[in-house]
Amino acid sequence: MINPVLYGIFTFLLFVFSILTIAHRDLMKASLSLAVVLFVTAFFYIAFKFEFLGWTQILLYVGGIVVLILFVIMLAREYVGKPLESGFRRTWLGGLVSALIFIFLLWVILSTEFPEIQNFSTEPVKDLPNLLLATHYVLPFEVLSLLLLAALFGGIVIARRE
Amino acid sequence: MIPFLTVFIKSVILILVLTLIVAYMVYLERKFLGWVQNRYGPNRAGPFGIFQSIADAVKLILKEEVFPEKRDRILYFIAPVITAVSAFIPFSLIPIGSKPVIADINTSLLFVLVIAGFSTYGIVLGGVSSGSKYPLFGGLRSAAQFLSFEIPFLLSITAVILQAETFSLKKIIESQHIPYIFPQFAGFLVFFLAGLADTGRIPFDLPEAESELVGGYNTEYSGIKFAWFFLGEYAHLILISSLIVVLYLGGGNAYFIPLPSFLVFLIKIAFVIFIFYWIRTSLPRVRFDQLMKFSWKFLIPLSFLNLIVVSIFKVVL
Amino acid sequence: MGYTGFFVFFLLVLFIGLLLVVLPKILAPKVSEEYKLDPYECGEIPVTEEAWSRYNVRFYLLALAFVIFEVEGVFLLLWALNPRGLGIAGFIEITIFVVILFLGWIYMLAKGVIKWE
Repeated sequence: MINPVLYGIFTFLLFVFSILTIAHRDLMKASLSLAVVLFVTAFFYIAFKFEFLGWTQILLYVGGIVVLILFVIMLAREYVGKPLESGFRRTWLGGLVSALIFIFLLWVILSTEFPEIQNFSTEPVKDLPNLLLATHYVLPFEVLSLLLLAALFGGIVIARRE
Repeated sequence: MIPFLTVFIKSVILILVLTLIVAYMVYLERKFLGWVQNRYGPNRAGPFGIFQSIADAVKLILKEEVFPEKRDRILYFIAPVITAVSAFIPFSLIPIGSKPVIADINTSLLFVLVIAGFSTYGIVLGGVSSGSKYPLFGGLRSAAQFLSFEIPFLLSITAVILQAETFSLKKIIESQHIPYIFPQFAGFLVFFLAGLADTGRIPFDLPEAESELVGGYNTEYSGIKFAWFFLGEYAHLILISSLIVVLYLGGGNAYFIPLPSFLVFLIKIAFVIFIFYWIRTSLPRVRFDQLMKFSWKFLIPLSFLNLIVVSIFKVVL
Repeated sequence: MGYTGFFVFFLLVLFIGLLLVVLPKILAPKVSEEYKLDPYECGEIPVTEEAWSRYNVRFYLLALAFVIFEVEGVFLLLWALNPRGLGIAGFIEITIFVVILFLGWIYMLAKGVIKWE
């Protein structure tokens, strides 16, 4: 299904850029690393035949959300091109918290039984519209539009306050 | 190993042909501009100046590069590569003639849509990473222009998908018993204008705008990096024209005339590119506020209208 | 020959792209002069230290509106795959969705997000 060498390369890229996303001192490069992470994840989706999900992820997240994040960073002029300074010095505390979160996540992943997908359609794209518009997902779908509307209103109200 | 090798050879040929096409597109454009403006155009390198583009390419490789002091090293380096590469790779999926040359993928339209957008990503990064004012403004303008025109672009594509019921470019061509330009003329208009804005050519070339922003995003670029932006821009132009041909003009379908399909496809593309050139010679550059108004107040409602009409025909009738 | 072909093509293009960018390092001459590497400002010494200045918040709003309409567009794309199978019911559902977001578009225009003075 997916070439093991390719899988290895993708995982490596994912690992490196995830680290860069949280560790890079330049906010702009950190968010661009996030873009690479999202890109590589999308390729995983595509490799497992969830093509629509993969392309949508790139279209919306890399093309939309990351651009939004970049604009926000560029609005705050003092962060551009300068390394980020943190006043927080108690690194052992941060280490402890992240170790705990890591253990918790590991526990969740190991204790979950992942159902194996049966009846794997060769073209899952064709099933998606029926799933979305002809089952009980209709209501969440309509509510989603209200959520998006609220986001737009909120953004305009906050940004255009005189 | 054999299929791998065939794909490899096909890829090399496709890249070479594309580069050659871009080189001669530039030459023909300059000749055409010269003819329209009553001057010669390139006429020194070789007979009628036909080696002009090759001479330009050699010059750009051998030229000294100037690296502005305040650039961001990594982003400045990577930006032109992103633009050129992302303008080239969709051609592996475009059905030249009746089917794609290299990769036949079911969701190819989405693929092309997504990857083509990255060309703008490179332009914005190039502008932002140069550490100079003109490129910065060019990059910001490019981003805003892309954000405004991507939505009508997407909506007009949606109308095509609505009619063809598939994401595959190959099947979209097959489903066009009459070219979609006739049932969806409004959609075609939106797609054409949004595509024109997407390529950043003259009525919409605000990211470059040499008379106000010097050179816009590529002010601080020189040598081969500049060439990459240039190449990316022209490859993007071919890409948009071939999308217009595939989505609205019936791809390689010749309908009545007995010609091989790839030839028909190339003739149609050449015709669309010629219209792009024609527009370039005829129109002045729009202002930025006009551009925004044009997209949000005209193109978006028009594309919605087109979508509604098409869906009523499709679903209700 | 689906994605394999694509990957071969992609790697080849990427390789050529990177190779030619590195090439001038070997082939091109290098002459250093004072002011040569300064940011270009029509021959003047740059007025400000940084190229950055705080730009208009409208760019951010445009990006926000873009993301929202893009989400809408993606759902429309999905519906467009099977319009007849979903019938009138699907059409009405998608129309409600679009109309709600159209209110956002009207609000955007009314608040002058795209008005550039």
